[in-house]
Amino acid sequence: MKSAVGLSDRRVRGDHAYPRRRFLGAVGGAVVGFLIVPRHVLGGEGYTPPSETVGGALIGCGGRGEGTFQEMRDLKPVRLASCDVRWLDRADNRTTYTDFRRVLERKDVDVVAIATPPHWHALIAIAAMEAGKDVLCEKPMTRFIAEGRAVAAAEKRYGRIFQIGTFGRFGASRNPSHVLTRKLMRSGLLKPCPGVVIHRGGLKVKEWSGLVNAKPQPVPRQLDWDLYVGPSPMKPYHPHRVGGTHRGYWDYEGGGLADMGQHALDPFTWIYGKDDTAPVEIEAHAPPAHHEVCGMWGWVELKYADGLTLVLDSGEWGESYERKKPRGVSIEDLPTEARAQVRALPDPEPLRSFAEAVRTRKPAGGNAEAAHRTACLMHLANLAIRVGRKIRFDPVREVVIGDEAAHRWVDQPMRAPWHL
Amino acid sequence: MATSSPDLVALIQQLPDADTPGQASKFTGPAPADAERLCRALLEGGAESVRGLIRSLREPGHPEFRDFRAEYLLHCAVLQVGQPGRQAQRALLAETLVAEAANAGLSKPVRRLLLRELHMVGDERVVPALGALLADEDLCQDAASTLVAIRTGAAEELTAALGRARGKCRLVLIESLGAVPSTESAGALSGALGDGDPDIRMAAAWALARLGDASAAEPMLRVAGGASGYERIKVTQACLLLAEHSVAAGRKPVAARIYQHLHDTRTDATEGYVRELAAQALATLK
Repeated sequence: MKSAVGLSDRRVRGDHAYPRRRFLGAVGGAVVGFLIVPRHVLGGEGYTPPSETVGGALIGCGGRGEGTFQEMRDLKPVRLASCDVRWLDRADNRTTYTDFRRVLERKDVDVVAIATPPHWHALIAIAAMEAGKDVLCEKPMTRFIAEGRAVAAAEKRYGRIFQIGTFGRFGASRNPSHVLTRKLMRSGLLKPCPGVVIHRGGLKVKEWSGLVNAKPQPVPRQLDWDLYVGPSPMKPYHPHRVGGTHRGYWDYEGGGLADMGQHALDPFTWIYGKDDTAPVEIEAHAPPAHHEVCGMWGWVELKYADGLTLVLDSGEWGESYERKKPRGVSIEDLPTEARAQVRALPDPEPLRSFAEAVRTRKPAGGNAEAAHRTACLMHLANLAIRVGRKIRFDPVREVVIGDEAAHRWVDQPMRAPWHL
Repeated sequence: MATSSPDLVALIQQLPDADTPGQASKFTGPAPADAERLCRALLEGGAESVRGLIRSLREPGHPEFRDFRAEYLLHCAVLQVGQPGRQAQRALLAETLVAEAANAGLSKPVRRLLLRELHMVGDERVVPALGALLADEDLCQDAASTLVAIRTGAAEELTAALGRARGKCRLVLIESLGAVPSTESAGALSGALGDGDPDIRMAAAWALARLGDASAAEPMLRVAGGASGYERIKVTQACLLLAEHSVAAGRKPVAARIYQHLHDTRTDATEGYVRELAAQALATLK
């Protein structure tokens, strides 16, 4: 089996020159016939002529900002713009901004790294793709399910590249046993699937819980609070709502589950071939949720239509999950003839890095659809926690079945002037 | 119908407090069975009991604010009655919530909280009362968002309010009509395309695209063509959305006109991606 990352690394590190407007301008997965000219021929060793320069921007410059921008390093982007709503006192609208819209207007920006709090991820990613930019977006991809569907639609409509800022699936795709599991699951021959995957701990539930008695405080003069709040309901300012601790509020993220879930579950969706579907039954064990802050929960059971069960056991509240025991899936679960069928299936296509995807105009390994399906796991789990009852979900229409009140969390209204 | 009036203070005090007041709360609610019992006691008191709880609410920062537990009990009740099969209790709670949201004797933050709770349990019965709040600068956003969540009957209220709306509320209403499209609003939205405020123009273009209003194609293309920067990006996106909706509705000539126009006018290299996707779409229409 070829190593996806190894292959892309070699291509990325090569000395091939790709005219910026040619590789960034192509649409719809068409492979452009690139001009291959060694860079040193054009301008000496290490020289990058302006036509090859990839203009980059970072939107959201706190915590993970620099790290997210660095994930684009294989493109050698020149940082042209940095944007953060906390910079009212320093933004010059030439290289530093507070309003992402002004950044996206720049025609010399080709790739955008997004590291804002997650309630902004979808809207900025969509707007960036509408503006012709490629996007590397910090996890979690979204705050609720309809946002992810809208990002995937924009990626398709505009033929842009989207890569989520977590890369667990790349490592998983290099493991031969995971490749075989994926082929087994994608074959559709394992019916019903007896697999039970239990993810215990590591979801930072206590760490990312908000303040329930927080009293309003004056907005710092350098912070554009209205733009920070953005599409979420306007609430009085409190410092705990910004700067990392925002994770503990439903308005901006979804607790530790949303914070860590995309990391934890990105390999799961690839290994078990669930990049294009979602669970159909979700049940949580948790105390009633608070309306503002993310709180404690015990476990969530998510069952797919084929029978595969994913369990998230926080280990931070109540009794441990004991309903089912972990159970792997194996080709030995199939009759002999079926095993041969699975083994004969072609290996999955190697996953493309962000840089390789930008250059080839083919979807990245962590493209919007795949990232959305992983994010759906967190959102469905949080939905079951928030409504406090078992829900059934239609993974094709992406609606909650038979529970109209619960469905209202799938597509939440946004504050004007923002919309999906 | 109330069967008993609970001691609201006693109910609230049975809820756990935040773990460490003033610190990150590591918020933990009561055991689900305890929550069920407390909510049942509240709801057995009927509308009077719920009204009493609501009128005890104070927003954080208010001198009489004690802690979060009163509003949390209300939220627990909302969660409980939102379950399928509890229509009678849901109706009681929703009607009480909307009546109190209209109560000018309560603070605006509390009224906004009530509107947000209605997101989960409001239905068509509360729609007219929500419509009456759409002209209030402080409440129109939450009232409109709740109408959008309810959907049934929302567009009629939003359209009716649009004619007399000003400022922030006008933008809120146009955005909301994009979320719940209605042919009744087409005229007002088309007029808004010529507004002096770019936010209004962008919202109107999106709403018309969502509506699939074929007659909006030419004015939208004109607005997109005359715009620059972010507005050009967003109104162009709205034109593409209208083209997609037109194809879905069997109006291929409208879509072809939009794609052809975008193909012919997006000649700058930096808009080549629009030109190219328009060309691809045109090819699929043939």
